[in-house]
Amino acid sequence: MTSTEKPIHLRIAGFVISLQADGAVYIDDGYAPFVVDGSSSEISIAVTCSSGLEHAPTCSGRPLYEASDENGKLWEILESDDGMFINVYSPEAPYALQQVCLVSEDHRSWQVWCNPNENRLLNSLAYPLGPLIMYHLTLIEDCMMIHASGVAVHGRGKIFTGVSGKGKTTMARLWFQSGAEVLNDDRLIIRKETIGYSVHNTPMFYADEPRSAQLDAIHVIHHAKQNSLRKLDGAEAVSAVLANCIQHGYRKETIDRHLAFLTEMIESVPVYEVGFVPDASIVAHIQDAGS
Amino acid sequence: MEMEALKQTKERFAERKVGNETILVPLSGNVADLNEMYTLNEVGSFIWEKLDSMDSIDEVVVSVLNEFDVDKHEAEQDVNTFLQELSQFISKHR
Repeated sequence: MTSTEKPIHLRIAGFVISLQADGAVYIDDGYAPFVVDGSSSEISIAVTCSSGLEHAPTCSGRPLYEASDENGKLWEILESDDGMFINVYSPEAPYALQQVCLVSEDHRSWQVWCNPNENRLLNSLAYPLGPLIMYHLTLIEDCMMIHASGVAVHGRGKIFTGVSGKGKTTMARLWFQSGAEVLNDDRLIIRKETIGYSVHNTPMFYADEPRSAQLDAIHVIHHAKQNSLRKLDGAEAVSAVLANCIQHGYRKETIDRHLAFLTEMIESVPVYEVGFVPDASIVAHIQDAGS
Repeated sequence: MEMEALKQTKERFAERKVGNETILVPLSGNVADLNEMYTLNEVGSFIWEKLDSMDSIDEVVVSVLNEFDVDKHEAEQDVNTFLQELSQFISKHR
């Protein structure tokens, strides 16, 4: 845990998120390696945290979107004239309000209310708000967030994506055993660069240093009885990648934006459908195919 | 499903033309359902684009006949199949 009374700047996928509070803030271990000196940085999202949920505004607008897990509601977006209003609930105490957020129309300014912990410190990014704020980078910057594992060989990155159980972690392990660097095995950000695209890890619940690589290819994977590789093109490639991207599409413009991003991306980043046997042979198979 | 109803349902999809194909992403209750994406082929994409400016299925058939190298029977079959599949898809995402 890192705590400070000064503003904190996090650099995630090259984008800066600033955190300020009316008291001392702390961030979970996963965010600490992403802290940078932000004095001269261009800020993508500014988060300002205030102490005390009792001081938070309330909103009676109709729900626009709701995110849940098996334990209950995680967060909800309510219609509001003042911007976007979000109630965030504790994943450990279902339906217990954890943060209230008022977000500007351009998604760049977040006012967050939460209760301090026993040491009077504010954790404005407490899960699930941290990932939700990171997701909003994809609505304002040229990037997308994807459920995937990623590896790098000499700085050249490959992404392996698929729904749970398709082998993302297994694939990362096999590449690690062959000498590759694992960027992450769960969640990545793909970013458009001046030339080409890059892939980046994001803060997780555990501490890991920021990692990135130039993106060479995306593999949509599944377990199979034999190794296979097929290049996907056009709509098939866009759909296959989009289906694994993290998004909360409560607005049509959001999906339009992501569709446009991926349509452009597949022009320079090849997408493959890969069936694989979970052993070292798939690493050689992909390398031999030059994909 | 009538033409007018079909036109109105277009608002319930995010769409993207990729080459000759079109990806449709249903917005069910403002929520995108990425597991239910639908890809229209070249003829389907053409019909989808033309829906706004057409008032009847016959008009759609004529436009397909003019655009593609097909006879009237094939054009009718293509349009009817497309509209049937689209109606089923839309019904599923009401």
